[in-house]
Amino acid sequence: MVRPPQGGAARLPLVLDRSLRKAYGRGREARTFPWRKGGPVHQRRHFLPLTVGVFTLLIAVTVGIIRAPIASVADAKTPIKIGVLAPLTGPLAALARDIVDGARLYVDEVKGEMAGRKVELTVEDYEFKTAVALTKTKKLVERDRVHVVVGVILSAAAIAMKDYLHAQQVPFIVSGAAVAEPLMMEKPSPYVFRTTFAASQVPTPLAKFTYDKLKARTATVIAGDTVGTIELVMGFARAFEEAGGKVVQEIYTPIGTTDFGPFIGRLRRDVDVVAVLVPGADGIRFINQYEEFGLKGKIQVVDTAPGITDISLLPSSGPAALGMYASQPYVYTIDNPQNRKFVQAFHTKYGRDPGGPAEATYVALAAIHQALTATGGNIEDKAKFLEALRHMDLEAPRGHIRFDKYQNVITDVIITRIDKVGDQIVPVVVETIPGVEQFLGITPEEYLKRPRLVALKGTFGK
Amino acid sequence: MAFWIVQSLNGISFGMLLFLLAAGLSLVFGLMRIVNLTHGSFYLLGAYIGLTVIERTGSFLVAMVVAPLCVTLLALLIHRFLLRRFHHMELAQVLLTFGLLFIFADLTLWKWGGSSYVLPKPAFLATSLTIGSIVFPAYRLFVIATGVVIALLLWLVLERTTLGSMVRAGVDDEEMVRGLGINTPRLFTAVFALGAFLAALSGVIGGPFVGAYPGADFEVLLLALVVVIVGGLGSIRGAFVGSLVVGLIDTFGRALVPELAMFTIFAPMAIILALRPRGLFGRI
Repeated sequence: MVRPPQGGAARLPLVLDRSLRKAYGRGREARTFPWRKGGPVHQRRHFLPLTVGVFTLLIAVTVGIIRAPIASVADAKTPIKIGVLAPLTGPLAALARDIVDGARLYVDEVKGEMAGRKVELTVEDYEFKTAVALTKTKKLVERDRVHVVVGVILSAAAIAMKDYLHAQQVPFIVSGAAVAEPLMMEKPSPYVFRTTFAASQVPTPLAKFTYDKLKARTATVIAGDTVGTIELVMGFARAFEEAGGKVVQEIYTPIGTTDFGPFIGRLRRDVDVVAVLVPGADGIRFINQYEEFGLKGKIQVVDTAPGITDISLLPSSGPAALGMYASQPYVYTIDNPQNRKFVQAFHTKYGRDPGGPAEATYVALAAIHQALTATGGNIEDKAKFLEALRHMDLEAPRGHIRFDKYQNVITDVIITRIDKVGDQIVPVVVETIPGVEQFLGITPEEYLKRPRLVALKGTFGK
Repeated sequence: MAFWIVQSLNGISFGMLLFLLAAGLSLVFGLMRIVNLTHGSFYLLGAYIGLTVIERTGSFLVAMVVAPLCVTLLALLIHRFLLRRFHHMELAQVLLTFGLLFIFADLTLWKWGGSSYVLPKPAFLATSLTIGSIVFPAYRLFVIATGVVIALLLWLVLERTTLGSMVRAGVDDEEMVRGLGINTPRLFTAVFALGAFLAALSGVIGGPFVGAYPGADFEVLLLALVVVIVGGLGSIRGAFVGSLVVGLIDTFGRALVPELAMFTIFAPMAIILALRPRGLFGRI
């Protein structure tokens, strides 16, 4: 029930006073609360305007919040606003920096203008927490009135944001999170796109490669205990068993694990390969401790997606990661003209090489640009803008890309090995599998009849 | 068998790191009756300053000396100019240290950024020892050794020197000690600085396997509080035994029932609080 504000204003002092009296006792009442009977008169007068003022403010804020989602119809002169959401503090800070830098590089390259309109980036840090991600998304949409949201690495956050942004009708281009079915396949939203990859997409070719080329027959999977990373190793495990191998052990480590000793101690020493997805700072600690326990070089490690082997982490995980294989849609050592240009521009601006999230976010902005050009810069006409975005057709640094019917990118998958070239530690391209899509060559209906990736957790090694 | 030996060594090395952390916290509480929440910041500052020193000089041992000294200096300033103003106002002191925890968290974020760092190990410890089928990282043995040495030193100082007897007396009855003509404010400052020194030292030593990252201050503080509660406040022996108990339970918990990672840390704390509210060796 909503009480009329006037009534509330009149009641407030009483309520306040009663609770304060409870806390301080009767004895000091006369001295502490002069606006009660017997207190100086001028004090009492001051109190009512204050309460009314507070209530007016409250009402103003409430009205503002209710009004906010109603999209404003802007003319062509107002800037295009793009919200960039990245976990700039926390275990994935290095990847997050790539997201922001990739977006900024693209805006710089087009000199801050797309289809005749200025482009503004608003960067928000979600601290690798789902709840914060949702709060910051609401802030981006309701206060900053962004037209598009890009970024996000944490899969749980992406799923939560999907429902909100769908309801708000704000396009959302994921350039990080890998979760497969809940984000892009089940109840697909026309507002959600993805330029990176699904958990089914990237580990599958690696599993075949591990079985065929590395001749591995038994595997242990190790993943950070969160939905995106679990799905990625499950994608590997499913494809590895389909190829003929056997997954004999699953180990999950809580995000933020510092001491991997207990987990490495449990690891079966008789397996041929360890498939991991331990992201960010956890990954650096894992691979260093894996080496400390003398397992490096004894059991081959493969990275089911760029976790430990991402270029932004190699400065820290470097020597320990030597010899690992990894699969990903993009790596900065791809040899083609667009990529050479991209890597050079990135290197000049930031003094380091771009990782996967940098390219994926750069591509997301390029896709927005392409759709804006096609619609004459009219991002306010959402139906037309989404239609144009769906038809993305880009020569990205990684090669030619487009979206499938479910708006997930169809991309080449590249398998790399971490090698020492000269005195530098570099991911060397070993194999390229062209045009991989998230349903792995079967129809979406058939694919969705199979168990969900996340539901496979705990079914191996029994 | 190898599994149990390796995991026990893991637990002991983790426990020794916890001991370095918790010893200072326990002493400061025992003597000054304040829960020094800035202890987490001292750990993180130690790790970050250690990282910078290693980058500049390339020497881990230099970092092990310089970083704790820098943090000790900071702690002396905090105690002299902030905490001493609130002498015997326990609540105000706790709030003050809580505020400082947030201020240092933001300052370190500003200076060192949001990335996670793992401190490079000294070269001579970057190997692993192999005995039969057991492989164990040399660095962890170094952590165990450091923990034991520090524990012995602390025990000697507390049990065998005049300063130590003043501290022990202060823990039991601070007013009486003051009545005997001992300068307790100076004693407080010394213990506070010692606590900061140990926290920063654990930051440097823990750096190669725990790392330095935003939020580490809070995580580490939580672990230290658990150890202090299990071991009992104001007692070095309690901190030592509490650290080993928590380190071993945590390690075996993660290895055997990884789904209950948080439970295995807090369950012993709850049980000990229920059976022995003062902790295993609590004096107060």
